[in-house]
Amino acid sequence: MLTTREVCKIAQLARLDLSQAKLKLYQKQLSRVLDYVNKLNELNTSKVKPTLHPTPITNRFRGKDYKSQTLSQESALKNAGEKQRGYIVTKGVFEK
Amino acid sequence: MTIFDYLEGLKKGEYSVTEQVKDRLKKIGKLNPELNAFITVTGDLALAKARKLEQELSASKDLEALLKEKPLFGVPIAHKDIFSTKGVETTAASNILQGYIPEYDATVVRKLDEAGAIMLGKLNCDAFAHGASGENSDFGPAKNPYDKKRTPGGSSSGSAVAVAADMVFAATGTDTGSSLRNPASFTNTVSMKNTYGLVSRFGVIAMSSSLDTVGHITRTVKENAYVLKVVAGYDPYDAITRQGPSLDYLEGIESNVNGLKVGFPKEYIVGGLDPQVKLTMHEVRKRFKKLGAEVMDISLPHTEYAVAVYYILMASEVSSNLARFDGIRFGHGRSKFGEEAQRRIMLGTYSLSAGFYDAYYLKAQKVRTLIIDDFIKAFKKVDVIATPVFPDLPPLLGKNTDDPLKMYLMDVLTAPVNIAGLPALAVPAGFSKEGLPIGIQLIGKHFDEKLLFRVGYSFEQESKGE
Repeated sequence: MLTTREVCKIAQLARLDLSQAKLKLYQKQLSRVLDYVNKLNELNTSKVKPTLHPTPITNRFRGKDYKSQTLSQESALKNAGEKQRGYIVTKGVFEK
Repeated sequence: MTIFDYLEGLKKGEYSVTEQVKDRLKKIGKLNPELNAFITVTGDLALAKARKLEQELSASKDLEALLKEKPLFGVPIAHKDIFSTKGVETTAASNILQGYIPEYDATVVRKLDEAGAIMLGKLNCDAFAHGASGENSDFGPAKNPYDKKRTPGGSSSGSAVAVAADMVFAATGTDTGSSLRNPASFTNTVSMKNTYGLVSRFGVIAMSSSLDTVGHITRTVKENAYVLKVVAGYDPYDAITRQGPSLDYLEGIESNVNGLKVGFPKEYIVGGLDPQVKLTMHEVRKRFKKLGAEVMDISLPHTEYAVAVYYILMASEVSSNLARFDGIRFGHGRSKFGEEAQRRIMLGTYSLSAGFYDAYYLKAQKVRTLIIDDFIKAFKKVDVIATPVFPDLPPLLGKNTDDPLKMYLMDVLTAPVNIAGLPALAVPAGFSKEGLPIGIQLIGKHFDEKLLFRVGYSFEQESKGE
């Protein structure tokens, strides 16, 4: 069972601002899901290599057929919330 | 009417593209308020394109020649609302993207457009494709045309409904754990969850990057193969797409399946199967024998772990892919995420966080290897694997919405395929006594779509004969 502290920490990491009611609900639901996925521990995988994705491709670099497709500045700004002189306005990161 | 019938009729001058588009828009106007398949209907755009295509046709007078460049000339289609469409609102069926208008088309949208297809609108789905019933949409669920109290499946719910209700000939969708096969199975339609890396995902709102695939729903196997030829192929904008020529999936589709080895995994015929689904599987075995195939039992021993693997991998990747929704560059604030999106983000964040990564994400990747190995071993014995898509009949709306885990278990028969990146063709297999569709999936080796279409076509034709 996830603790209240753990659920709060997860919400903070995930940048989700959740009400007390939601935190409680997710704590219950997620604990149930995590109990279920713990069944993977029935399997001994000490000698098994992980598979990250189901293709044999490893690194793929941009080939010569890559045509640069960029959005104009106007286009890129179209869906932004707050704009100012061609910039997207966001929260300050540094303290004053 | 199939796409081929439609094109024949155009050729003979029985109707114009504009007439057909108008008819379908009228139909959508009439049926959509109840079925809720469409979130956005793009009537004006569709009619404008119809007129443009008609000008081309009257100038060239040779539809046959035009079809070489534009094989879907004038064919009405629609897109799941997670496909970016330039200038047309794309919501992912979520309030967080309300009002979002993409500045570019997804590769698949562009390819279908260039092939002459006419988009009639954007289709309802589970928000961000999170779901197996369409009930996680912020715009209300779509309804199953076979029984409006039931789900049409998900997450490509609107896509299945639009095709099943004959509003469009083809509807795009995605399949990450079940989302093309499950809706096809619930609505008597066909979908190919193709091999990971066959079709570009560029411009499709990402869910889980090691599992997502892009495909489409149609009413028949041949139509599905025809549309796949248009969308498949290498795209420099999607790094996992396979290089090499695009195949003609219709080629050889009518060849028989004599001597083909079809495997039935015993782990999929579990105790919990609805008796009518079980009965259908018996019929399916008989049908394959009648077609001259060699039917055998096989085992995929790690099947019972697939949902656990899927939910850890998928939620982890979702938490990463949805991090971009910051409400700064596009969309609204993160508080506008629906419950299911929030739940998956939380689960994924936990599973990837320091101290838990090994126990969850890494562990799931290891069990993934075991599941893939099961399939590799099975394909040494058989050519195709046949299973039900869903253990039950299409559920009533509201049945599983209070329990996320119950909802997750709906993917039990379909998720293993995504984990392994294999192709699987969902085809109708019959109806329950209440008239509800029951579908099966035909699973193949990587990039063996041509064989699956061939088997699916034979099966489809045999089923029609009954």
